[in-house]
Amino acid sequence: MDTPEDNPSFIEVDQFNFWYGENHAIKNVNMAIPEREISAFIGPSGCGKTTLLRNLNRMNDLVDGIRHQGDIRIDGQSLYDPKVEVISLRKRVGMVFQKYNPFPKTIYENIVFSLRVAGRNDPDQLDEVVERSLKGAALWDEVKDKLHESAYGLSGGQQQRLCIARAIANRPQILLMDEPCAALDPIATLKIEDLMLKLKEEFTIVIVTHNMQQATRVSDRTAFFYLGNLIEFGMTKDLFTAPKEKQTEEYISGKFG
Amino acid sequence: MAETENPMTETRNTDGIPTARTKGEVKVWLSAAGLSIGLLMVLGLLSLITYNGISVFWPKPVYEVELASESGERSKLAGELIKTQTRRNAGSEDVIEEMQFFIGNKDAYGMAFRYFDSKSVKSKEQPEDIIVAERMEYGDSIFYPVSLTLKDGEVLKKEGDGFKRHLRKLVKEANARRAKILHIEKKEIGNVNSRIRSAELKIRGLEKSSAKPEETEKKVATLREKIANEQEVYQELAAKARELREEQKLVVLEYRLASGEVRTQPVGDLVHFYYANQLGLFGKIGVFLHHIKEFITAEPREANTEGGIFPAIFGTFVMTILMAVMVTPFGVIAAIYLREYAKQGMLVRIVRICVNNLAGVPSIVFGVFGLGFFVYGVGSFIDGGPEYPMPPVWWFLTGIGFIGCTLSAVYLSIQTGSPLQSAERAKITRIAKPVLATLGVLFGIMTLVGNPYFDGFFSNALPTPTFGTGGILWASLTLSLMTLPVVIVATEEALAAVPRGVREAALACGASKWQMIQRVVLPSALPGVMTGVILAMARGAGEVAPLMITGVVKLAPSLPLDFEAPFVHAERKFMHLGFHIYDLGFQSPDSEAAKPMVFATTLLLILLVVVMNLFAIRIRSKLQKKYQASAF
Repeated sequence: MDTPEDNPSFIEVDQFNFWYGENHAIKNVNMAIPEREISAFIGPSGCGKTTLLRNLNRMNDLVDGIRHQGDIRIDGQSLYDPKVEVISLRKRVGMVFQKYNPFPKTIYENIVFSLRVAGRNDPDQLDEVVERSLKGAALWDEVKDKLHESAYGLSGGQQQRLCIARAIANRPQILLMDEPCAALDPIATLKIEDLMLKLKEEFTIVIVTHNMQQATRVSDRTAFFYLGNLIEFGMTKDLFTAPKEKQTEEYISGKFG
Repeated sequence: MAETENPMTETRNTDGIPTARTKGEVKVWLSAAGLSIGLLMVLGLLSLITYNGISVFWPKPVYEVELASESGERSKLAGELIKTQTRRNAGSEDVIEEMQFFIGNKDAYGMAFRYFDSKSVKSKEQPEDIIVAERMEYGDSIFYPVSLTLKDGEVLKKEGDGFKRHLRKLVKEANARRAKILHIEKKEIGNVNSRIRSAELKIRGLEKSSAKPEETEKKVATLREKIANEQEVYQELAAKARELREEQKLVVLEYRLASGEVRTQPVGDLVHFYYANQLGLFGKIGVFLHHIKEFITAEPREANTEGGIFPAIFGTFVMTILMAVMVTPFGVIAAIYLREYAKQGMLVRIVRICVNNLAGVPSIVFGVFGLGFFVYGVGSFIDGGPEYPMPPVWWFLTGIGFIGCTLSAVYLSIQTGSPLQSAERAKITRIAKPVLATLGVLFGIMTLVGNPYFDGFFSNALPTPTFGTGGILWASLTLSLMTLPVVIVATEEALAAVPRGVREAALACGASKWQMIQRVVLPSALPGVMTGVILAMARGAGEVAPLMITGVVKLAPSLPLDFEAPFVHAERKFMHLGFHIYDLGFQSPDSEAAKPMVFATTLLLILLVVVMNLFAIRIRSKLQKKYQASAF
């Protein structure tokens, strides 16, 4: 599973604390997420896993009254460095959301959105990106004849894969997935999971999931969060078979959560 | 109303099972009743207007009635039966039935409508050869033709062969000649007049200017020569028009009224005629369509009570479009700022409440504001420059202040987003930015309004105002101010309805906030914006009060859009259907005669609003199809 030449601490979370107003949502978290692997964040609702995920591309900047302490580094570069522009950061870190959210545009325009906002409008290049991204998201065969139809005409699973294609169109290094299968049926879920295993050859994937089977099926490493604390972070098979912490064991065996 | 009650309840009752009727069902019935009553009233109003508006154009049979007065005298009159009604005299128990007839011939009888006591009508018949004729003056005439005296003095008796055909041909010729006269007098002479006027204005401008006297004199001399030439052209045209007018009087129709009086009338004054009692169904339809066509396409005559209302339709249309074009960008920009950029706090809440309350301000207040601000303020500024120009030094200082404040506010705004700023500097910026921006705007207004080097664009025409008087531009601006809250509220709602997920997705793709708004949020909100514009158009098109003081007139000599350069005449006064209704119904010398026109005009105004709204709804549904989809 491990490819030795990859950076073992590609994303580095360093003594990270985060507050929504008075609410201390993330407490002193340290972790190192390796490159080109799938890392899953699990834990009960309100444990801070989504908050941490949304900090990785600074989506939380939109919320009023937030505060943070500590640092997060991607490839050695701090996210909170004043020289970092949020927009260029988000070009390196793509995101797929819980509820599929294609734009009210055609399939084609959905995919090329990130290129267009970056000012890249060369038609040949765009065509190429659309094909590559849709193939990457295993959607090409299903939609290649209706690229210029509304994205809303697709099924739920197809729309979610379209969102994945959109997220990888601009070739980010990291792909964040916030419960990407929560709104999908089992077959569509399976397709997305297959896709994730394929995508990890190219991208570093961080996924938040409530589904522990999904975590065991797709992830290389798993992090268990509880009440804002990172309880345990390790190889998935170790964490699920021989958890070091008692809380982890109780959670994965279904005693709470 | 019966369908709204739950049928299930009834069946259960007969089965003897306790009813599942909940307490709320009475309220359901009540609300359904409320809706039904409301709908009935609206439908009733619409059908009343439609019926009365359309029946105006339908040719009615003409009766000749023989009347006996109380003293036993017999007299005859002919007319269209309008209605039969009952009335009771004060202090008497007797119910009197009376008939209202349209007898026309205002020149002979004095009034066009008359009431007869039903008892006094001794006989009523429909004579075959009676004619209803529409004339240029004194309204319709109802008569028996006697003879035609042609140009060469030949007399055609009505019994003679082809009298009808001949009359029809002559009326057609007269109409053609009238159109020609109109063309000469309005178009050609109008053009000559406007050339003379512009030359005169140039002379006045030259006389005022401080250029070298010899040069000025030379220029003035050429201009005067030009005016003299134009005046010659004018004389020629006027002579031609006069000649044609004389020609209109050559053929004379002699006719007899039902009362026995014999009168004559130049055929040149007839517009249209028909034998009212000889019409079959198709003939009636023909006359009906002719009336509608004339009503829609012709210009009004006879203090607006006769003829058509084309200028009013056109004026309403142009004003509504202008209003929609101006209100949309303002409303959308304001709503975007309020919803997307402004910090949602006390101030924004207050602004929002103010905007909502603006919708409740009486429209006449907007009219007064429009008159004071747009017409007297902006309009006279455009005409003649500032009323109180500043001394040049002060003016330069305010100009520098404007540029300085604006530039520094812009600089600070660019800096705000940047993470390079220290907390202290950010705090200073937060206070300084609005102060600088306000100062910049103030200085900007002072610089503009106090400019000592600006004498206005139309100062040569003064004291005759050009923009400094009511006009279609000011009326549309006033109305767009009035309908602004509608657009702002609708746009805000539409923006708020754009799901968070889509916004986040756009940001996650690396879009800036403005890119997100422009590329994702606004397109999704566009159907909602269109709803606001449709509502604004519906409200604005029917508004009368603010227009009365900002540019509507009873009779506008020319249209706000025409083929005379510069094609769009935003300063011109215009006619409006809503005002036309008021004018006909309440300002007309013969309100009885104008009543049918009121209904017809109302119907047309409603139709115009409906057509414009249907068009906007079509655009909206196209947008909805484009941005929303079948999956949801």
